[in-house]
Amino acid sequence: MEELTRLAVESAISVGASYADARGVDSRSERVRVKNGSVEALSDSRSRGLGVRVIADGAWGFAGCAEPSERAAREAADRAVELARAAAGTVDEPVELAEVEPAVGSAATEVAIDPDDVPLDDRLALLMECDRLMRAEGVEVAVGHVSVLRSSKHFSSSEGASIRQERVETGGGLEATAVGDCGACRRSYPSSHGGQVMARGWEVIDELDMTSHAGRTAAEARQLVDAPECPSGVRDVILAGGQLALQLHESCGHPIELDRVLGTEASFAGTSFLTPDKLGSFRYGSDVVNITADATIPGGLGSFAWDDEGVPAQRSWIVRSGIFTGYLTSRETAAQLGFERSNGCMRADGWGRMPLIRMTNINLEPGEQSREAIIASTERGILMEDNLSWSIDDRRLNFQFGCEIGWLIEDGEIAGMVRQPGYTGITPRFWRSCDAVADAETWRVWGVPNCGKGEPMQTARVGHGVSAARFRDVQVGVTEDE
Amino acid sequence: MSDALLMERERALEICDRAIGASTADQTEVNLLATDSGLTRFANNYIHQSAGETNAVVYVRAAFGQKVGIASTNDTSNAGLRDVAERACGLAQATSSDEDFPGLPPPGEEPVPVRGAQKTVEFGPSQRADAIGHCLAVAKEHDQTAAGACSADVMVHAVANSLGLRAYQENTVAHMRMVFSGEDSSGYAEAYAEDASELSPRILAESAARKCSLAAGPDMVEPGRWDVILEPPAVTDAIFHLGLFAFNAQACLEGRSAICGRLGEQVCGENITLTDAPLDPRGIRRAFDFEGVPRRSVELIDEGVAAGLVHDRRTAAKSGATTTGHAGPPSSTWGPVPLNLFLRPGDASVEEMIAETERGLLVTRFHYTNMLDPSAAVLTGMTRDGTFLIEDGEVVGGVRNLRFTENLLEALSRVDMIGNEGWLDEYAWAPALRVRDFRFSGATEF
Repeated sequence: MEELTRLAVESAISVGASYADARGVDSRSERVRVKNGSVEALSDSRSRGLGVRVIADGAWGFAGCAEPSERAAREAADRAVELARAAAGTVDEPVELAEVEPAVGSAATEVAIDPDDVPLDDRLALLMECDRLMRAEGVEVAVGHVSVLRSSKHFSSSEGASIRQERVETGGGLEATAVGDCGACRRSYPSSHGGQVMARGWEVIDELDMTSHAGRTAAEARQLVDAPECPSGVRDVILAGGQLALQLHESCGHPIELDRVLGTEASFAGTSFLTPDKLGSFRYGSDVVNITADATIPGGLGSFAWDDEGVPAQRSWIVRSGIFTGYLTSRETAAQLGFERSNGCMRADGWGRMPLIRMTNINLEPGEQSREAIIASTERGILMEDNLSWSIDDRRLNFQFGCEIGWLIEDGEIAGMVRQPGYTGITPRFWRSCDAVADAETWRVWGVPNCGKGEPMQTARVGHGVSAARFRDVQVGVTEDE
Repeated sequence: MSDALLMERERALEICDRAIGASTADQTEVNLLATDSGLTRFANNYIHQSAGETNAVVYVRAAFGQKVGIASTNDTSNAGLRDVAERACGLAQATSSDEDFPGLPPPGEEPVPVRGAQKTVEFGPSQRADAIGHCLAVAKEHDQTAAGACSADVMVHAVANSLGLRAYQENTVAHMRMVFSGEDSSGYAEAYAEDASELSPRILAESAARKCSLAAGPDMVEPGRWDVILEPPAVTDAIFHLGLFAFNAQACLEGRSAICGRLGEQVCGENITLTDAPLDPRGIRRAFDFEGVPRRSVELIDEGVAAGLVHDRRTAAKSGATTTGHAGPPSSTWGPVPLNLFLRPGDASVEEMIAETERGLLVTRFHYTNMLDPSAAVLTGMTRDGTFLIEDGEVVGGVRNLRFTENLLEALSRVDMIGNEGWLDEYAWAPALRVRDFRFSGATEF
């Protein structure tokens, strides 16, 4: 692919592009899913192709082609320039890019156990054993899944960049669904939305130790159908694990994407309440809220060495002591706001799509108290875990989440389980009500492999480092009239 | 000379046959999806993304008895097709049984031929830029800012299996969406069509501009129960979720659907009839599913009674039914989904609904809808791009956006007026509805 990316870049420049880059991507995705003792899905998907991005007459053009040939690379370059020129008539301000030192190098995911060394028999045996343990608890539907994604990518640019990145991502999880008079109740392990996924090898699956958690996961699903509904009213809420990760994702990760902020997603995903006038002064959260964007965390699903503009991975502050201090940027949007450099957040879903600003690993930095101490100091609250449903407005202010399970807290102690708890709020008010963030003991980076954005829809694989956090006076129980 | 828009039937099925020929499985099925997509996006009154993509993906499902493996590739060379067939066979031989695999369908009734529109093939970057140019001109005339997308997709879908089944169709979808923004308001318009010449960008733009102007200076209203007029884009969004979660036979079999055990029961108002009609020319036609089975028209709700579910071969075998031709892509585990929903229109215009509403809200569309409780069909989401207060039979101005959290089947039991015109999105066609006591559970700040 390296030669084809160079050829495409040269070809684009030769037909009039002022800037060109090209990505050659070869990817392979393996997936095994067992449901109720049967192999429901067993797949091995491969895709390779070339994406060529250009600036011509001051406008962007992008063309993707599947055929790995010199002829196809030249045709894609021509098409990208044609597409840019068609757009140029509407552009008053030619595209400008923040500077980047053209990188020449390579990087590969660090893998302790190569997934290729784990035969299908072993993968199936693991999932079948989990399935057996879950169904022994009497659930109606038991699902276990593992997946491995490999990709090889070469990036070349007309500025001289030449970068090769080899990547391995591994993930897995369990889901148990029990059915009762109240309907269906689901529990997931270790989290909903794909379980856990990391940019590592099979050691991710070994560390999940799914067989040790299968019985408990299913038992909780069974108990949920007889559990009381979540009470309605205003209570303190403690969010943990995957739910806190998704809260961070929706109410912080998306509104700091600078393309959204500047309006280029306005008609589809929406814009953002975090407008540039707020940068550096807006109180996003309480003093204990510290949020970073960090593409350098080893193994994080949102980690990489260079983004799809050839900008090196970085760690930057988004919210510091509650004050909003940073965005996720591209080279173009960084230049638009007068930043010297991009903080490297441009990624594309495969070879055939134009890169967009995507989350890296967006993290709520750990606090100082233990999770147990936070629970112990909560008089009347609900601990909520694992996302069931999510919704937020198009400026990322009014959100509503449903969770798989809730635990009532009375006088600092867990007092019982509640079914499908939900809560709602307004983003900055909610984060300003955060008065405790759990310490590093329970902090981990969760992979979110299904972040959708853009047209045509692109799915990004991002990460969120979180522990647990408490929010005061939250509206919970959202399905009943007041 | 070929009249194919993207790939001839013979060429598409020949690729499928080469993959079948390379398979050693007892049964082999091949899906070919070839696409040529063009998309132009605009925002802040200029085009910021102009993109094209061509691809052809081959999915091979190989079965040795009940053992099934799936592999895919976008390499359609002989070597690529041999490799994908071998990978599918290798997985199938190495795996355990899928007891619910019902086998591949034998050849049967030929799918109705579907062919897209040449005008959509010709709707290239310059034509899309011209269409957007009309839109930008209208936005500037109104001192508003336009954002949106305009696309043209040409798709070939072919299915062949080792039992002799053959299916082929060539679809086109043209699309244009726009959101116009003013200082404190926004307005929206959108259209889907098989034929790009039916998009009418200037008319759409005038509609978006009008909405944006009308919504300016929004007041805040309290959430709670409101009589509401849902314009067609809000209705299509809601009924799509109903189809996805409730009328999916797999969701019913697993106890996750609000229709579980309720077929034949009155589940909503007698004025509600919802059908999945894959070949209705008002929609984006889809002749067959990913098993190559012709898609049948299915009555889901008949005058308020839950009347049917959509099936693939797996759910049909498990429930003693016949497939309705709604199988999803080979590696999908979601189950069968209705993709051509039609809600029967009524006899009222939106203007009449407004005139007959003493105090209520007019909702243009929803945003980020999601099932909060699929077992009860409780949907949540936000309003956006034009939410208005109605008083004494007139729209008196815009209001800030609201969150709804509502049981869809109960809401469909409180519909007292149904629009006489429908609107198409990619997967559903619906008229406007007036719903009594629709539940808004929260508000936002814009």
